[in-house]
Amino acid sequence: MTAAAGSAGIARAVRAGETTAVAVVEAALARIREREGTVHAFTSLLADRARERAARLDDRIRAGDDPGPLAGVPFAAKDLFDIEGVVTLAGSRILAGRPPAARSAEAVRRLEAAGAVLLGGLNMEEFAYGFLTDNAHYGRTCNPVDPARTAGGSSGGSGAAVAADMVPLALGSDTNGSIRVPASFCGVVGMKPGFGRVSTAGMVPLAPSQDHVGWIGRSVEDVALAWEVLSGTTRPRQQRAARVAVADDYFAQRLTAEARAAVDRAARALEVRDTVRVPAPDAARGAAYVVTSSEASSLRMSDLRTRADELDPATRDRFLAGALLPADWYIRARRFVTWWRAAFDRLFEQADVLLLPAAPFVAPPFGQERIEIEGVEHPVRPTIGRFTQPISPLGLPIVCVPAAPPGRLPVGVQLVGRPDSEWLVLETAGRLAAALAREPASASA
Amino acid sequence: MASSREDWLRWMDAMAHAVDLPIAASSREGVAAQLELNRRLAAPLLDFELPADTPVDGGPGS
Repeated sequence: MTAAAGSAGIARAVRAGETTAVAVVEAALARIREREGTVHAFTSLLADRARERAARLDDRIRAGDDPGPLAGVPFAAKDLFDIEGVVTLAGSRILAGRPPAARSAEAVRRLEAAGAVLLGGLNMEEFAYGFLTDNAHYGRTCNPVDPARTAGGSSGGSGAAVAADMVPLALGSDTNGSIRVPASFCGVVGMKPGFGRVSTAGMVPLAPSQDHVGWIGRSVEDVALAWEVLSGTTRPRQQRAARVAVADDYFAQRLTAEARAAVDRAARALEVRDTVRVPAPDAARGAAYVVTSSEASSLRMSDLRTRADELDPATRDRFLAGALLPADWYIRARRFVTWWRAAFDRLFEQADVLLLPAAPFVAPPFGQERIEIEGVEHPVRPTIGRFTQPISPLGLPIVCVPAAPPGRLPVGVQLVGRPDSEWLVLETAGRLAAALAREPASASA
Repeated sequence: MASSREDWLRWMDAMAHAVDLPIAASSREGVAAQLELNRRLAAPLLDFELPADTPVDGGPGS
């Protein structure tokens, strides 16, 4: 049984004794051997550790024990999560001299406690600061759909590992869209819960006031299962249908025909007719940008003074520029977020879930620096986060669902809920995915 | 903030010196370009008229 069966399918089969955790892990390792040369998703592979843990799980099952809802599910973690016995690199050479982690990150331990089996660490942008996963130290992660294209970032290894069916579940992080962008580019499902709902303990920070643990899976069912385990909450037996509205104006501008078609397709599938207008999105994006730059640079100040030449030049320049931002900008950004939070509270009186594009275009080829949208050229890298960054400081629960028609390059949509509405967002995402799967091919042409 | 290219670079060097942050010659143009991107993306925030009594955000749930 391979990762393509999904977390839920694998766990059901392992718990029922239809297959073993060892067999599932061996199948995942074989798949990694087959695809890793092309995709380059992993920075460390813990095959012996995984085999040993899988064998222990099988022993428990044979003894009549239930190892948990993720029994035998192989997973991998972005290389900013501590893994006991492994040096956490966070995509940087700066951290390579640190001792191995004494204890795994909280999110890793929770998944393992539910029976999941960790296979290794995943490639990422240096310190999670970027959207391309073209890492100067550890190489670029290629999109399994088209290896000439980026897998997105900064959790590019997470998106690629799931999209290539190496693992059915991958942990990542999201500060400005680092789960949502790779999910969109790789055609898989990504989830970022509300801020603080899953502990970031044992995770190398980028910008602590916006850092979230997130994860990527093949299906909404799989990311929901991971949420259940990581949050310790229980899926409600009955969930009312959410009132969904499409965000217009800013969120309907400066996106390619493919990205726009994905939003339209998702709106049709959910039978959404209402629209909402999000106020001051450009200012919100500026706030997210200033907060991230200031906090990230502050955390790396010592390295910038003494070891700047060990950083990827592009990351280094971003950190240096961030270190020179005026304090007034940071304070203004944090004040703006107060105002914006209240504005969103009012939006959520009109709808429970907002439907937004996840990215303004499909995964760009490596090396492409500019892209034409609606007849105007834009720089690729700073434009990728146009739809994920503005809402990031609010810490809202978001699920990213692939919505491109079959046979096209992937692109996703975001479903954004009010605080503490993860299960309602997941229910909506499940409804969307099911409706899209039912849609006849002719309707997408 | 400075407007011409040279003013901009001088401001950058002065600020970096003030916070004891060396910018290597090879990094100077890259940092200057990033600073300009920062300014462009922050502009709508800086132009936004917040109510005067708006407090600093205390995080989700505040």
